[in-house]
Amino acid sequence: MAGSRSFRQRLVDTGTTGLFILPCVITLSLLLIYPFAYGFYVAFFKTNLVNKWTFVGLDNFVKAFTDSKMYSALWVTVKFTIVVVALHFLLGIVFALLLNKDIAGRTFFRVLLVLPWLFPEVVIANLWKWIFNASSGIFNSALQALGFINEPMSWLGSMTLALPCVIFVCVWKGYPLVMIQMLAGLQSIPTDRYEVAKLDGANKWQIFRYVTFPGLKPTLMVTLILDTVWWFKHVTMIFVLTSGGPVNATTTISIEIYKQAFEYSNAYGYSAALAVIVFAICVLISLVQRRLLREDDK
Amino acid sequence: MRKVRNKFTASLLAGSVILSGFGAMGAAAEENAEVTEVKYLSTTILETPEGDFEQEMIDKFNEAHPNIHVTVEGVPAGDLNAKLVALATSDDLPAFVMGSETTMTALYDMDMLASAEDVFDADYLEGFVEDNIASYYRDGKLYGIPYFGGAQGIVYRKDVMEELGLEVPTTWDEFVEVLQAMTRDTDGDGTIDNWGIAIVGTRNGSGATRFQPIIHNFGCDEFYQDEDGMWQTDIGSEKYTAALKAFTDLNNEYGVVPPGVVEVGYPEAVALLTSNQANMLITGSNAIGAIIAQAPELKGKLASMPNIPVERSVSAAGGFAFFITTKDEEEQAAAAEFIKYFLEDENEIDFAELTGRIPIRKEARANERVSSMPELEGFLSALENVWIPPTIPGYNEIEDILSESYQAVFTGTMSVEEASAIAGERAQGICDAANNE
Repeated sequence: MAGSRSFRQRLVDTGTTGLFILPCVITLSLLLIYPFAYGFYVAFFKTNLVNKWTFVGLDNFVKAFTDSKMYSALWVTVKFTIVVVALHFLLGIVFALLLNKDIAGRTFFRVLLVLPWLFPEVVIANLWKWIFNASSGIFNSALQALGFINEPMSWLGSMTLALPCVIFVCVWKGYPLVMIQMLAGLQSIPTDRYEVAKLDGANKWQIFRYVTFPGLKPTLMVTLILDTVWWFKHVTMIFVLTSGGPVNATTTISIEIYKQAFEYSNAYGYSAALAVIVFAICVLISLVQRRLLREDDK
Repeated sequence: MRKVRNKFTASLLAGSVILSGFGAMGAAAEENAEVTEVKYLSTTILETPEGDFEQEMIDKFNEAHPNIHVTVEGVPAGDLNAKLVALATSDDLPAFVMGSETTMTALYDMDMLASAEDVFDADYLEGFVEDNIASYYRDGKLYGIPYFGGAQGIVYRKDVMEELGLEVPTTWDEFVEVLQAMTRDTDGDGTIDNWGIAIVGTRNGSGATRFQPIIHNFGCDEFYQDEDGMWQTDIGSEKYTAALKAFTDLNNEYGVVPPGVVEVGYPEAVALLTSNQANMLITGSNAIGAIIAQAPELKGKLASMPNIPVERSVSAAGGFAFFITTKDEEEQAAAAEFIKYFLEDENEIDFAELTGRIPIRKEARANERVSSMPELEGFLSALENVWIPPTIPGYNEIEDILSESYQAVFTGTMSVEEASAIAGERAQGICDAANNE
């Protein structure tokens, strides 16, 4: 009888647990799983998403892997992501270390350095678009006034300068997030570790190498994964600044996906296939980064 | 006793309030039941000066028609197709939509359109200028009600032309000479600050649709059907190469275009004219309204001419139309009522004077207030030979094909011949796909 009651109790407990989890499961299913599954499903069709659905099997994937445009867009994406993320971390760590010190006006500098992160991406992209504008941009005017250039330059219209300019804007926009994470990480490192290191005669570099860096590593890795995936699939600022141009100089894979779906021939199936490939790449990136972290811990 | 009387009075009052409440609700419900709600998508509602005019029309209509309530949702022109697909997939399209011929192609492809012939009577449809209504037919049925026309041509600074003693060019060589004469250092600091022409060189529809009339006048048709009904293309041909060279030479060879041509979108091009940095713009007639809205001092100083003829002189009728997307007959009738009101001759003429957008009703087009507008003269003469866009599936991609090729040449990434060949390959791909369907 006791066993039966216990079984019933277990059933009730399971039901209660299930009830608590249910809202989360429903929300996740609606917001994440359904769109993902739908996107994956669409990748196997030639479709206008409404009344024309022709099953094409793996054709969209075959086309993607044989299309030189995808490789060219992927290469631009890889260059863009590596440089943006590397500079985010460089600036983020340097500024976090500075702001972690007891310097005069620390609050003011904290607010100032976080400002780019507070503005919407569209606003920032439009702002820099006008700053870089060839005919009436303040950047050209300043360089001309200082005598660095004789005539206006087309920064966002140059095949060689457009990507560096886009990277610069994305670094400017994105470093505060890394800085805040690093600052939080730095402040969670117990101060007695620094005291012990100093007592042991460690110099500044050794303190950073053996105390600060290991203490920051968990935050560092989470931020690295988030930042890499975020910028790998970034669209907004690149689209506003250059729309992927000139020619294909700043066409990342996400820009290519958007154009395939909405600007070329409404190739929703093909662009969904590209999106599935990007998803796989992002999963791979996060797996590699997690593996590296685990191996390093061992 | 007094207490009882008070209670009775209170109950009576409460009862009457409740009853009058129900009565009011009933009346409101009855009133609401008679009002047909009609919503539409518009791109021009977000533009200046078009938006204010359109909102005024909606307000006036709603006031004059208590049984219909029209509301509008603004969508930026560049986002319209994406928005339509999103709404169509969720079965949430409004009663009607404003857009271009490519918008109609997308809606037709999704089987979302009601035929205009089922909603408007034949007499009313006969009142439209034939060229403006011609591109809204599919399989012999009319699906679009034109809203305004938009000839392609060149807006120029008449005052500058007169000041420099220049004649309106009629050949490409004369055109280049005029642009060279207009490209000057006006403040004497040794650097050029005033250029002949602003070119929209961005890689999008805005740039591509301004390059299209150039290739058309060089005798190049993007797509056409041969005697066997097979789709063919002139993209990549000698004619296309010549058009691409002439167009890109304006920047690369003659330097008559402000710096940063591939960065210049339509708003930037308009800004170049209003800030006296450029004197001409290849555009639709709507640029007149946009320029004068930004720089009212230019009123009377602008004129227009058709695009320079080379092998021929043609212009797309262009413009936007209304497309009925609701299947509900009551909503269709209400939408038709609003569209007819919007397109009344007087409204069309006011709209043309304000914006430079060309009327599409025969009587409004013929009205002297329109035909005597000096800013519209060139555009109206461009419409003497109207070019009808092809109905090939996948036509949308042509905008990217054209803009990729001029950007490649502007930036020096490719030679004219290489860019032309690549554009030809892409256009041929569209033909092949259409021929194999």
